[in-house]
Amino acid sequence: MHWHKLERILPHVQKPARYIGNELNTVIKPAEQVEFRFALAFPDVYEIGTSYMGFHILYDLLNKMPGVQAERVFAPWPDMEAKMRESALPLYGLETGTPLGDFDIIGFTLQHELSYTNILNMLDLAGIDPLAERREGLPLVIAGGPGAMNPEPVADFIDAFVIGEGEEVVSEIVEAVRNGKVTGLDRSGMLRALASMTGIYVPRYYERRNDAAGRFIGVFPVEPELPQRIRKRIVRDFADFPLPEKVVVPLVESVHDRVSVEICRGCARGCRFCQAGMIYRPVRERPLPVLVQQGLTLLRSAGSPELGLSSLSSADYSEIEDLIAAIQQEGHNVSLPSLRVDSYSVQLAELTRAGKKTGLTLAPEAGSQRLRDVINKNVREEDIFTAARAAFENGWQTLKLYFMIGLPTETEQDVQGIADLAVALEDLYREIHGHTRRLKINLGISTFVPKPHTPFQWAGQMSKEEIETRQNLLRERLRSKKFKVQTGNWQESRLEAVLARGGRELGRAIYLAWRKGCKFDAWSEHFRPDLWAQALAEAGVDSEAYTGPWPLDAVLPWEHIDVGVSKDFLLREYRRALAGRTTPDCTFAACSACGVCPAFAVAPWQRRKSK
Amino acid sequence: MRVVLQYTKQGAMKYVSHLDFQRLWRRLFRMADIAVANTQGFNPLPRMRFAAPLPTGFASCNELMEVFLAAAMDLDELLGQLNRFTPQGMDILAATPVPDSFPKLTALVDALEYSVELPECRVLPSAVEDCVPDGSTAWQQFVLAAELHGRRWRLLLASIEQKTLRPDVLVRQFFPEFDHVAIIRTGIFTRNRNIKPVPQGLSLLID
Ligand code: SF4
Repeated sequence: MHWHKLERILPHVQKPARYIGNELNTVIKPAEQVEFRFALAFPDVYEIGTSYMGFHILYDLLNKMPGVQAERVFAPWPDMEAKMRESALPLYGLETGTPLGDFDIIGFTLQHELSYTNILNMLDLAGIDPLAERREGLPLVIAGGPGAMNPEPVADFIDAFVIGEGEEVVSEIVEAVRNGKVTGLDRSGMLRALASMTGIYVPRYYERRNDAAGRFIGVFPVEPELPQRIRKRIVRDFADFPLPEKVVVPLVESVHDRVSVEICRGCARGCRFCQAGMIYRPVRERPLPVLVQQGLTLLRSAGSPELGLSSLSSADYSEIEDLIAAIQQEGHNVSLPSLRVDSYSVQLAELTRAGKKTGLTLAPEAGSQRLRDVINKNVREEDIFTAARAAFENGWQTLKLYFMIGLPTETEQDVQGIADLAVALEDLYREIHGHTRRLKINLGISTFVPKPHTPFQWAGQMSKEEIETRQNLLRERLRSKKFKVQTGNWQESRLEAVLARGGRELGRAIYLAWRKGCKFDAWSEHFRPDLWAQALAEAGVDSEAYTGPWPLDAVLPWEHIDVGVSKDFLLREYRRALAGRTTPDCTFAACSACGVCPAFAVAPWQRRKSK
Repeated sequence: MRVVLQYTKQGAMKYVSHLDFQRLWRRLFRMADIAVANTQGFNPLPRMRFAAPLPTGFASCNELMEVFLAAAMDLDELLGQLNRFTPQGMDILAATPVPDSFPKLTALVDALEYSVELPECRVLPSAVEDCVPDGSTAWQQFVLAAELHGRRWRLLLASIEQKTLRPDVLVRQFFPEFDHVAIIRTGIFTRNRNIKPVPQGLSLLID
């Protein structure tokens, strides 16, 4: 039935292979062995979703559980969606074509605020009511990922959130729901059981409260036995936690044609705008032999030419050079997705270059030393120049530089600094090569978005005028063909801030926006700021209240979510930022008492040698 | 070692684009741990060539590609190894060694045969019946044969200097009322251009 309908649709859509499953290394169990179905749902298009490592890990873990069939599902592109609606084909799991409505659990990952409307759309396409309170029976809709660290904006649509690392808790959830099915628990019985598990937040058992004056005072459990704050989960033994031996290999070219291993989790560099750097602490590494063995196994089983060594800061991995050498020795390419700005990183990039003519990526984030100190990007002017010199001398001709504008305390002077830097790098190239014929400097200029659980969570965004002035300033100053300036859409960053910092009251706005047709908001060709503005207005949400600066004593909508990093630390860091004082990385220098290590009873990091 | 592989691309696999399919082949060789010789140049790629790209959406029960292996190996073993990893809808049927002096596979293709399955029985419009290989209109010069038996329409379409006609163009032209027809490529043909010996994998010949 499913395939019959698909056959009529697929000839008429772009990239039909997105919708067929049938990839190498998929797991399909005989139907009679399956008693529990878990859908891993990624609220964006196939090519984006298939390169997300987290799903590969969960897919492997779940499918290793007897009786459990995990399937993947991605957001159909609008052309496919139209065809599916036209022929009444409900959204289905790619492995067996089972409609999502027949699953026991649908688990979404919240990687990006601008994919929230896609969640509603996918549920609707599956014939499931997007509003949790109106749903009955199974499936349960759960969600995890960085977005779950402020679950409130999507709390109306999600039955339960996984706070923190999913590797261990996912099988606990399956067991709980499976038991619930056997013992005849109803939906709320199952959710109640989940609510009492560590690291799970079930919004229906929590309510927002206001004081007599109508001011928000927090989110509280409605039953006394439930925890006041939901502590995030971390994997007990990250270093030895088993990795998948094989991963699904997409049939449609994904963003990167490579397989990845996570060499290190967490980052303690402490950039004050960076949510990942705060919520994934503490820093943990996998041992070299494990990574070499796993890396080679994965490369073989995926038939992949390249191994990505993923982490928030790959050059910080203690034995990075040995790791690269060990993989290369077996004849494979290696890529390092996130490098620091220094000559050591350029050296590593040089090691992994393997004849590729791609550019070198550096992220100084801010154009002046003053502002880099404010954001705690511990990069000095001279680091940038030594890195660039090393790159140019080694024959790199394309440099990709990432910057942010609209940062707290930023002035136009700081933004001029970005242009000055770019021009100075051009001069440096000329000094080395005597010309700039082949030089290209690409500048990716994003706009600051305050994120929950970061030192900048209190900071406001700049106005439309200020952002556009800065963007124009850069475009004007960097007009030469040597430079390519890419700026983000101002309205998208605004919406991102609203959705990141919102409370449960945002649910209505998201619902209305989706009803008006908003989806794929992160894709400029589909983003509809006009419809969003209507939706926010109808829901009575004043976006300014979410994009502006917040008083330091404000009760935050995510106060009940405990990521281990203390609010005191964040506040201290914010104050240091405003005073222009930096804080060193605790894996190289002293502990800065963020609170994570005591919270999870892990020993503070043994000092790494700085390279 | 130069080898011609005959394989199928059916079921869900027909929706995989030619570009993605080439990538899949490269992966299959790596998964099977069979080293393929690389092309020369700055960005070396495994050296393989496809007889005639199959448009996305068409199935085929008879595709041909050639590959240059880095080392000689037993061809039954090659087939066995590769077939362990092929996804459903893709079967590698035969492997035939060819001498290095043999012309490029792409240059040998003179005609492609398709089987078009119409949803209902139709009588062939005379325009197609009348058409001859050296017909005057642009599409007619490609139609070597067009026989309709009930719902099955056999088309033999010429490939002239690697240009050919897509069978769906003919379907749209003559049966615009059908928006969904299944098209299967059934054969790749070459004229016997005094190439001796003609390798087995290429034994489908006209003339
Ligand atoms: S508690 Fe100290 S050592 Fe542990 S992550 Fe935080 S700052 Fe680093």
